[in-house]
Amino acid sequence: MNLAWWCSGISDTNWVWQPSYYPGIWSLIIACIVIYFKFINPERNRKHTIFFFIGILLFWIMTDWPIGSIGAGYLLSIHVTQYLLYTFIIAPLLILSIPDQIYNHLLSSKIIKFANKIFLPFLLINLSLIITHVPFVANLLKSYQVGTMIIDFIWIFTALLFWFWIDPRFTKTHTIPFPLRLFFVFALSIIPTIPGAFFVFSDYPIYSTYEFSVPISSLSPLQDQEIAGLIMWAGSTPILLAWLGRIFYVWQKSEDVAN
Amino acid sequence: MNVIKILTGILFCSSLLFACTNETDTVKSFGKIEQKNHNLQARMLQKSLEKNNVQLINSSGEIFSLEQDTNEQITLIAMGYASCPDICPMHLSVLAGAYNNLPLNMQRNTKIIFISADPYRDKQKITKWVKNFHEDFIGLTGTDKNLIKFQEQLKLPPAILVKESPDQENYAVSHASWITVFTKDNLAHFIYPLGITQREWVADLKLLHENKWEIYK
Repeated sequence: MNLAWWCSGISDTNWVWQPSYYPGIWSLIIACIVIYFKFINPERNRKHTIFFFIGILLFWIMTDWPIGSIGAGYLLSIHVTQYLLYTFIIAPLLILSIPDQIYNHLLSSKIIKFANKIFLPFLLINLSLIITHVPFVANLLKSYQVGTMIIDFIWIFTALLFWFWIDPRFTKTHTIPFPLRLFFVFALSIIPTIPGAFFVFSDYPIYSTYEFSVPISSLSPLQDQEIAGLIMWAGSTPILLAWLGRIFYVWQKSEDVAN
Repeated sequence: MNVIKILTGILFCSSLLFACTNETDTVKSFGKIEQKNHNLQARMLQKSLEKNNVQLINSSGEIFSLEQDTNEQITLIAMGYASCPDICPMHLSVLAGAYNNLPLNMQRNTKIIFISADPYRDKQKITKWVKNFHEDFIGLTGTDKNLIKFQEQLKLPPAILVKESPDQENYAVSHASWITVFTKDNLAHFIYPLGITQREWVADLKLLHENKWEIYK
């Protein structure tokens, strides 16, 4: 029985379809569910609950065996898929699951107001993307369970902050103008193209974690890296287009109401 | 009962002692590995090894001799077995990536040979299995006697089939994990441990091909 606290990139044996058990991931998921239903229960409605369940279910699927294990130590293409899902789907869903009263309260907090002024969430989400994809950092962190956990936490935390700031629920109290929201959501798709370009155009595998992993499929480490680059380039496009369309639609609607 | 425990203890300790003694011998016969004094990622052998003419065979039964079939070519030799769960596929995957990045003229003069130490399971499939990694790679095996002789000549510790019973089909093979590299002078001066990246392999193979590798005094 393969038991560990969290997934890690120590893939020194060939891949077998036998479940690995990660109590750390289960504890986190259970804690999130307990907190959500114990403390947020009074204000939530059915829509919030659905968003929460889809968000937390996706988070669980992405972090636990097999996707979490493969992404941590075997295939870079799965690793970047995890990143895109955390950033563009799971985080917004979790934001949408917060009941209105708590959401508005958080939105009016001083930290958020401060963050708005210096575009902090935008800087953080891109910084986290770049730093966690620097080969030295990624190889080092992925060698340990704690390291992989840190990467997962950084991604989800900065994504939550970013989407909270963008305000996918379009509350009236929010201070970011619509054109700026469009700009930042669009800009969010630009930064991943930088590591994506390195992945696609490099002649060699960039991460030793994946270069020295036992082959899991007929893909070579370099082919896997090229696919990861293409996912970084185009994987987020449909989701981003949907978000941009939604923001634009709400913007137009609010203009119509104002007129 | 106590006597049995004492005897088991003595047996265990003596087997440990035996294992340690064997290891020392292996290291001694393999040759002392020196501090790095060259411009390669390799470990230098104290005494260079010569190519041998031990007969090995591919899955079609064609005979292969290191001495005759790799003359004056950069030759990389890895031992292993096709059911290997970790080191062998890892080595071949990295070598395939490195080989693809070599210029064509260097590819033509590079032989990457994987020798199975498990002829019972691999005789029929070794060539095809190795070619899954790269079409140009050579997969070989041989008779027990020839494999032992071949490993002796390359100062490799002999591979051992780790079987709990003679009928066991799913067993591991303990084998040397490094790659022995012969240069154009038909001598092996270096071995490469696991953990050399594709980029490092390409850089070193280019130096070896261009005879630009050097040993510092």
